[in-house]
Amino acid sequence: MAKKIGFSLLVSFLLVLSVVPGCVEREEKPEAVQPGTPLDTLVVGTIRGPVELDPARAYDTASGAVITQIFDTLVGYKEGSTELEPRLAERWEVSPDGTQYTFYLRKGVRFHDGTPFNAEAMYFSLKRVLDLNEKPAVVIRDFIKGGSAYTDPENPDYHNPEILGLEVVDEYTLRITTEYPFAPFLSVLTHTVASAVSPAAVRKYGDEFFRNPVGTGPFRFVSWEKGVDVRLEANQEYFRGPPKVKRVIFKVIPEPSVLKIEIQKGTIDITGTMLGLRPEDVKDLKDQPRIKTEEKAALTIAYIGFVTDREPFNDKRVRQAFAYALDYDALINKILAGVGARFVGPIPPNLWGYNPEVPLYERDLEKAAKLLDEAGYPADETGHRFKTTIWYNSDNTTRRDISVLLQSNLKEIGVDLEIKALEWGTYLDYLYGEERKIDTMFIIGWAPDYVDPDNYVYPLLYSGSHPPNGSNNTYYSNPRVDELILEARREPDHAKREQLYKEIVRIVAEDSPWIFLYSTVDVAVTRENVHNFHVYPQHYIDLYPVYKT
Amino acid sequence: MDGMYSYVARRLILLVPVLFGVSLISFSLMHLIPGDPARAMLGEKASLAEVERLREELGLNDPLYVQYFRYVSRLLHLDLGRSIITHLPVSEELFQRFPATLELTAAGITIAALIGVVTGVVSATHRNTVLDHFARVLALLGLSMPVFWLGIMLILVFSYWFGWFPISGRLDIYLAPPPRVTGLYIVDSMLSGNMETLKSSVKHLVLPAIALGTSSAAVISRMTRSSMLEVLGQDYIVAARSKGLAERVVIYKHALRNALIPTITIVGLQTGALLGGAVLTETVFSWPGMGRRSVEAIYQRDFPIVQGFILFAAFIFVLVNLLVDLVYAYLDPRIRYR
Repeated sequence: MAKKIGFSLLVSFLLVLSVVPGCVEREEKPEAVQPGTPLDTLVVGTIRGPVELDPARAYDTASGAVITQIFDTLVGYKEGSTELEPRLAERWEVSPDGTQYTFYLRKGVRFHDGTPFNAEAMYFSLKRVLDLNEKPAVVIRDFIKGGSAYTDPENPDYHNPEILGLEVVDEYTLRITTEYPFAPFLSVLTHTVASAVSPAAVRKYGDEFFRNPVGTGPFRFVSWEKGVDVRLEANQEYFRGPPKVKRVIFKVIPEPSVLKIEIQKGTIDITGTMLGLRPEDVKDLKDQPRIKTEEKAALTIAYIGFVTDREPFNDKRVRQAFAYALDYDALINKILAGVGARFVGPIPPNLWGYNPEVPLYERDLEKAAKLLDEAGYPADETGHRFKTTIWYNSDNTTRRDISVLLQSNLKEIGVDLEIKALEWGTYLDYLYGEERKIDTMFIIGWAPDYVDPDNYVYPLLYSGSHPPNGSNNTYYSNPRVDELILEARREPDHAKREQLYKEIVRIVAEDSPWIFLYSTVDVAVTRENVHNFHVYPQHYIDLYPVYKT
Repeated sequence: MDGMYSYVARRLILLVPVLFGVSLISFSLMHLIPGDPARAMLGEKASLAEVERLREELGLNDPLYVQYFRYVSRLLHLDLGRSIITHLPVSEELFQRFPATLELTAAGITIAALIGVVTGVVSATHRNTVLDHFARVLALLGLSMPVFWLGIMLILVFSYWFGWFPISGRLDIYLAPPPRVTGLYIVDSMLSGNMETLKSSVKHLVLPAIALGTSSAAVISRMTRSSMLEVLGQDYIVAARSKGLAERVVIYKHALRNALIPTITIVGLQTGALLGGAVLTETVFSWPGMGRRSVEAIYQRDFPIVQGFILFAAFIFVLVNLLVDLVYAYLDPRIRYR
């Protein structure tokens, strides 16, 4: 009897486990390289799927990664760099006062639905961004002349196209006037929000355009199953020539450790830190056979912000003392597993305008203690000075580790650090809401919308950008820096601008409103047979030049 | 029989206050947790004016009771609203996600019940033998193993090393899903006679179902064992044995049927709970079910999705429990509904 039951137990286990073995061989496709995906198909693994496929509405990196394949902008990036190159515009001219940009458009380009691309279509696309005024509109709205008034329901010129600095000169010429001389404007135009959308498709699909996207890009949209995958196929009529692969699949794999297993197994071709792979997994993948990795310093920065207008951090000596207390070596090599670069000042080291002559903060406990003494926070007989709090968002384990590191580092100079975590939505509210709820220090990051030093200094350090009107979450205010920021964004001469930013870096490094933690390093991980996939510093993903062997 | 119909009718009517209560609780919870949904949606780069405009648009500036009233009146028109992030109707997202969850739950519970009942019975009939200890340790392990860890281990062993099963997803990515009838890939594949998608979807289902079913199997096993032991000690079992009935008949015909009632309760409860979505299993196996979507929506403060999904989950939970109560009557003819 016992044997029989034991047997039935075994059988039921086997039943469950063995539904399958018979059909394993079907997996191999005839054209597949063993093991892996078909040669004409690129499978991109990402932990997050897109939220939107409408460039006028999407404002997250996961959506951006897909949108870039379907749509084009007037200006693009050179392969793997932050340098600009013509895309839908063949060339352009800038007026001497730096406010008028005349774009001469490429002829013979068609949208995926056959609609011809011309100045009307580009005008339509940009005006549509302002009409909808969704999240990403913020990237271009305030720079295009009349953009702010056009989108403000209380302004008499609300939705009055006459006031907009957008003008169709002729069929292939578009003129954009900016609100004021704004040197980074061309980089602004590389953002997905400034993509050309097919006017015919927008009219056809209306509110459903976000899941029926039609652009001019190298790949056309096929299907999108939310939370599962997005499928694209090659646009054989692409104006730069058809892409080298026939199909692209963005596969959503929400668990990072599974993402790692999939690239190891070859069931996906491409992934990377910009697609959600964890730095600690990159370390393991580096020595794997049949896998390639490429690293590049990215433009995202992370910092610990001090609320600079509240005690004790209204004294820059206290801020500097904290910056001298942190163990940067443990930060970069242990917490970030080497995938991160140090910097000082508000601009990442791989962007022009960074000032390499300004020394980095290095751990120096004596100096830190001395600075705290001078600032009027002497140690009592037990070595204790004061207590403060650091905040971070609970889903970010890197920030948790940094808080713990800083806590132990500060203990050595007599400062007690309390660590508080908030869920992301709440954290944003605490930092940027109408009512200020954090008045000590916090960890946060910044990813630029356009590749220009202005997109760091203006939103993060200009005194007019204090929350809730902007992202200057440290409430930093230095009249000299304000002056330099405004001067630099209006100066058309690149060399002069660079000098201005270097000066800003010098002052901000000294003022130390932040502990400058690290600028991210992006790592692309691909299968060995995948070529030409480059990491762009700005999290940009371009599958057009990619091919497989 | 009439008694049963009116019983079912009464239970269904009771569903109304239950759903009303659930809507009130889910609504209050979502609105009471700190964090401004408009801010969460627009991110750190939005200006105050934009946040304000969105709040107005979403009606978040009205007093809570006004918002709740608006929500309920829409509910009465069977309108669950639209996601504030994806702009899709909540009902459409539910319609997309629920079949995935249902398929996974059905497979998980089947595995759980199969393993749970068999090991439970074996344990009970071989009380204090090696077999019993083994089964009990197994149950303990099953209960204490975190499901995400188990999931990753299953993937590592059976997908990565042995290559028997796919790593993730519901279907081979090179296959088009079967034409949608029920949304359950296995059923739809059978209906359309597509063997390729059938094989692929079964293969994809095995590991997540095991991961999901393991902890339930453990609970079911323990429950079956204890109730089986209790039944086995009763007089009528002694009588059956002394009649000279085969042990097999005694156990499976006389004892098991009576011992199953508490087990069915557990299976029902587990099914109801799992149908609300199994967040961790769904995340590890990239399974596009309701659990993952709800958690995502909570983080995004996507009220309509969260409220809609909770309401639906509660509805299913009540329905499953009603079903369980009806199964009792089938198993134990002494139970009558009035």
